[in-house]
Amino acid sequence: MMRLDWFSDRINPVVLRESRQLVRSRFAVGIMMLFLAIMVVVSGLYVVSMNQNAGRSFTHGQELFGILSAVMSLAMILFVPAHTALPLLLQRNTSGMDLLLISTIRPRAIIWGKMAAAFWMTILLLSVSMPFMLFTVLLRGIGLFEVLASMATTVAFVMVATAGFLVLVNLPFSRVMLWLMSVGYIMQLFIFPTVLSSILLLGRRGGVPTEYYITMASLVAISLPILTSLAIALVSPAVSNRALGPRVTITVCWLVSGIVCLILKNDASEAWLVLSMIGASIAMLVSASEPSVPSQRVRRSIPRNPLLRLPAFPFFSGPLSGWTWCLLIGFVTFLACHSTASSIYSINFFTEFVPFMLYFLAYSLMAAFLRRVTFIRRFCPESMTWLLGGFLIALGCILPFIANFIIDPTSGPDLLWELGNPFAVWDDPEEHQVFATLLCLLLVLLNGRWLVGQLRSFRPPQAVQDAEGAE
Amino acid sequence: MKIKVQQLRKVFGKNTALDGISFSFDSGHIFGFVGPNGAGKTTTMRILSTMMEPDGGDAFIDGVSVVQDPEQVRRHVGFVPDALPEHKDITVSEYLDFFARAYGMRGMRRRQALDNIVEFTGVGNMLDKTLAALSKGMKQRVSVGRALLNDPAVILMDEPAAGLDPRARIELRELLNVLAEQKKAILMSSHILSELTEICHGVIIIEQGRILETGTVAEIKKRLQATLKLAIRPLDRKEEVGRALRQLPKVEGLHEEAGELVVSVDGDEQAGADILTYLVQQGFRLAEFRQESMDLEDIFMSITKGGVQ
Repeated sequence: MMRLDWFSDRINPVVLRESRQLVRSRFAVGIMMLFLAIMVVVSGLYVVSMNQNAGRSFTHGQELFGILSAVMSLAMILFVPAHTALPLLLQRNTSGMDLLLISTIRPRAIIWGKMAAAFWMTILLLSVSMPFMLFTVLLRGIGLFEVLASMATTVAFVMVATAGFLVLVNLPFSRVMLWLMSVGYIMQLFIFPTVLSSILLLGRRGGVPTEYYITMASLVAISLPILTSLAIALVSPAVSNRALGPRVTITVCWLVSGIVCLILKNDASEAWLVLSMIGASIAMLVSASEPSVPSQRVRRSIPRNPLLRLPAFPFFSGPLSGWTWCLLIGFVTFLACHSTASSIYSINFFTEFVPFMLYFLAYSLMAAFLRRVTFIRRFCPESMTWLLGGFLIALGCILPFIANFIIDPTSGPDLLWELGNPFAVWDDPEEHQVFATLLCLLLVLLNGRWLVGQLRSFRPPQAVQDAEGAE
Repeated sequence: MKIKVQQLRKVFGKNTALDGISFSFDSGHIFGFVGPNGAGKTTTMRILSTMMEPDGGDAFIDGVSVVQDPEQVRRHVGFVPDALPEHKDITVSEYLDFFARAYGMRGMRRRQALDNIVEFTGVGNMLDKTLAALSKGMKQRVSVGRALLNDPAVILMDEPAAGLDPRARIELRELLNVLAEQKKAILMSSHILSELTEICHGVIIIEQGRILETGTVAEIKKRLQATLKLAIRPLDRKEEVGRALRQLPKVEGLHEEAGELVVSVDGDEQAGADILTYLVQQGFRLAEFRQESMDLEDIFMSITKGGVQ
């Protein structure tokens, strides 16, 4: 009893609450019973419908496993994330999260608690399906390892899906918008288990390829920590340095995956570059929406030592900090891939992504500029600058095409009309690079004072006071 | 323990929610925070409870800044939001236990704290009920209990009496009085002004992000009521009484209201007593002679304009 108390005291309170709610929730118990019933019915029907040559067939276990794993994956990937994340969406207007954040519990404990509860819920559902899965082994056609590997893959996917849902429900959008996005998210979750089952069944004849497991494991290993850190950042109070966790996590994932990919070379390094560049480009748009003046509480964590302040700068919330971090990621990725490229084809491929990223920077800077100095600021808050940036990118892609069509409908796409389109850089990367660089420089000049202001305000509270006093 | 708010400022886009407000009060006092919707009450409460950061100024709980040291402030503050707990699948005991754990309480300390709260709030007979099954009054008790778990010296309550029936309000009032006796500093916002008059030692009246008045009801009354108002109901000869009153130098105004003569007097209670003596000496028979006093509602209506941010 004493040990149980000791354990109970140290367990994350969120895990404890989620577990209690799971046990009490009629919905959860109902889903579990339904899940069990489907398993029984599917297995029963399959066994009844087996032909008389069952004893000689070596594929019954494999076939039944395919059906059961599809049911299991669907049920878990839909139910677990929804059960874990939807309460957060429901609590949005009830101060529930606020009350937690003014206790001594940390945002990471809230998300880790949710994730841990989701994990135990998944294990619980798996334990329900385990006897049926083992039954397929007895029917032959599938090995125990494949059954366990499939279950492990499902658990991994469920956790990624849960982390993704936790990110979604904490996004700073209206409740209606979040509900719509949640429905969309749940619908797209149908695709993953279907694709997963298809791949498993397709690969069965020659056995599941090892690359498949490596790829899946890599995706999970990268996406799970990144999504979890994003969820923690979104749960954190708006006045905290929300950028720190995700940027540190992404940097570590980027670094580790980069080292592995550069060792493997060729396709792997190309995949790393593509993902890094696209990720950094999207992050540039997101950074444009961050508060340009650090709050008092954020300032408290800015290093007092100027030498430490410099490397810390990219890891703080703020447009300039975010863009610096993105450019560092992009620049180092390009340099690493370029210097280890084995062919001229690879070098050209890597070079094409430079203007792509510069365009995203240019549009982010343009969005920030327009939002600050034009009438747009009346209806576009700072936090929505990313949307304006996305809109500008869309305009940059479509408007030149329309202009070209109006001026000369008979001619095909011409370089002049493609300048400014980040998705048309593949044809003439060098020209695009020059144009994107000039555009960036112009926008940096236009945003000059604002950017310098961000640099100057990146000081701990006392240093800011001293600087203001000196002025 | 002292709550001190200094030049607090908060802007949301174009709206200035708080425009440099300042006030202070000590432990053992219940202060009412009064103002129309959108006046800045909830914003102030959220800043004091460290949920929000001000754009300017600061607030101190026992000398600790909510801006510079919010972690320390959280140890001293309990917050009761206007929204009541509504969970369908969590019981009262589990709810309180969860927040006790969230405050890092372990073992005997947690059990002791929970026992104390259950006893204090009187929710002992409904520990196994789910929160959704409770009445509003009981939910409010649970909410207050949750805010008291870490034994805070300061309690912030946002519209605690809203939606409560008379019995629940009286019970809440009793609960607050006990807390004030325990030397807790309580700041509560409310629209029910009569309730605040009975519970609070002082009030802070806010409108459009600015403090209009602060102090005890008596102090504010004294400030606002520069002239003394008397209501006189003569038994007979009303017109003669009126004429006699008009001749007195300190009488500034006189009108008839619901069968009574309402007299504005330039002076204090002494001047009122002199008038009564004069009327009696003149042989007038009076059925009623009383001083008209402003209640919180009168004060509120006279100084606010109903402006919303």
